[in-house]
Amino acid sequence: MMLAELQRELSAYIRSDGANLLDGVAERSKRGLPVYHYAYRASLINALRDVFERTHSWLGDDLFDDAARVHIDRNPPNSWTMSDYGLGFEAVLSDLYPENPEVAELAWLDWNLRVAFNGSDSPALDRAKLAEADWDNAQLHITPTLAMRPVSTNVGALWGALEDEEAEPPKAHLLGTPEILTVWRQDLAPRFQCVSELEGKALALAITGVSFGRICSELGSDADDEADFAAFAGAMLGRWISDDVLIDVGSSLP
Amino acid sequence: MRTPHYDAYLAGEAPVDFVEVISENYMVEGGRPLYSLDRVREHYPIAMHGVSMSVGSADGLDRSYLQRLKGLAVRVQPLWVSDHLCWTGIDGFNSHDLLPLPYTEEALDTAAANIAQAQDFLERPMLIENPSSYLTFADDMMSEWDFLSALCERTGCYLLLDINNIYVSGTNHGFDPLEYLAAIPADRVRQIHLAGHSHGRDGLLIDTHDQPVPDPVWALYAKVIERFSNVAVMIERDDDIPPLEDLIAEMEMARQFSQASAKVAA
Repeated sequence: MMLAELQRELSAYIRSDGANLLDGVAERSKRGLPVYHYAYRASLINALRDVFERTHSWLGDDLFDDAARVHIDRNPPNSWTMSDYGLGFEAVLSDLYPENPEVAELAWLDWNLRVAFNGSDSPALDRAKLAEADWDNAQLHITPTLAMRPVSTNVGALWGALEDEEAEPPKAHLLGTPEILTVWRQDLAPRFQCVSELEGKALALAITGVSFGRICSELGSDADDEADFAAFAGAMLGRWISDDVLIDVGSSLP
Repeated sequence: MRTPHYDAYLAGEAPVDFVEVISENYMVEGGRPLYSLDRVREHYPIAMHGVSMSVGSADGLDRSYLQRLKGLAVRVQPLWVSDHLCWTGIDGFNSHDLLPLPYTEEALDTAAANIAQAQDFLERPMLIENPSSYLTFADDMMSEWDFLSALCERTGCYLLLDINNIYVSGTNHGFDPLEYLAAIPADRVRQIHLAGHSHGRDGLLIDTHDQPVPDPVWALYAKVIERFSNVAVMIERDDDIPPLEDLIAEMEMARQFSQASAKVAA
């Protein structure tokens, strides 16, 4: 049997239900085939448990592993790095738990915290630039590790409560007002925070290169009270600076 | 180097001569892994040990993988770069397991070509580690030791001998580990791994690397270490990571067996 053919057959066996053994294997060593069949799923499930730690805690072993097996069947790994394997697991959970949006939202948070953990480094903000900035025209350079998505549940509180395995986590519930969940890395530590939809819009505009002055004019035009909006924008910018979400202020994107 | 022991390595307090890291854990954009690696490198030489090159794959090496690996090697300036005699997938599928090769002329041609390509790209010779395996193939034409010896001859690569893997495969496939070790070209061996295993079903030994080095592996090591003088020896543990002190104790045992000139790490 040619090498490529043998490798295709063994790959197919590993992904299959394991019922059909391979022709190319020496008769006396066929007892070894199930080792590879088992190890394939076990290592992927372990990898998913590691990355999706809080989602695993929320679902428990059985439900999490069932979902992991669905992911493995739907999305066989195709990257040289196991680190990529969690991509798409959130979508699987969303399909499996349409009535429990907190499950997919927890998975999104677990995944993006891991992505931020290994994400690109960025230089620390030179705070001297803040005093010199032309804020009307200044472009805000946001950390490359920032990820965000709308959430409909109290996922942030759930994630935090699940850190203590002994404690009873709060019940999941829908938020009265949708929020934006943001994840980024501050120095070496991944962080997350739920922000308002308005702040989420500001971040999205900043990432696309819209100047701070224009962000304020676009978002402030709908505000009832101009002074209130100015105070909101100032506080928001202050948080971006103190939390290292803002990494540079300049006239062009890096 | 495993996560629970990071603090000792970061402080330069672990009594080892070098540190081995899983290359893929550091082939990332940035963040704590690379930060920690840079700090550890300030204290220790580093050996890069990979699990994803897939030197036996019939559809060749992944260029993006090689580029990342080279980038890490440039950053770390390692003692050496190693990977396994195995394949991990084909046609885009990656099992993330170290799958066994048939020991045929075609597989030898394939592995030799892939290793030569990797060495050219990395601009350094590689170390290839013998895998533990649970399968042999109907088309096998040569022994694993003959296959490895031929790879060294064809490509100029060196070997990372895992004594536990030889013991595990010898038990599973019925060959004599001493015959294996006697046939290996001693001058090509740069590193030795010592590890433990578990007992699986049907009498198979499983290379779980989650146990202390067992007596039969120590016995094998004691019999052959003189043949492989001046090699670096490492206690390898992949799961159920014990306190660093336990690994250091095993390392001291390895030191007692090995010649004074051998380098030892955990």
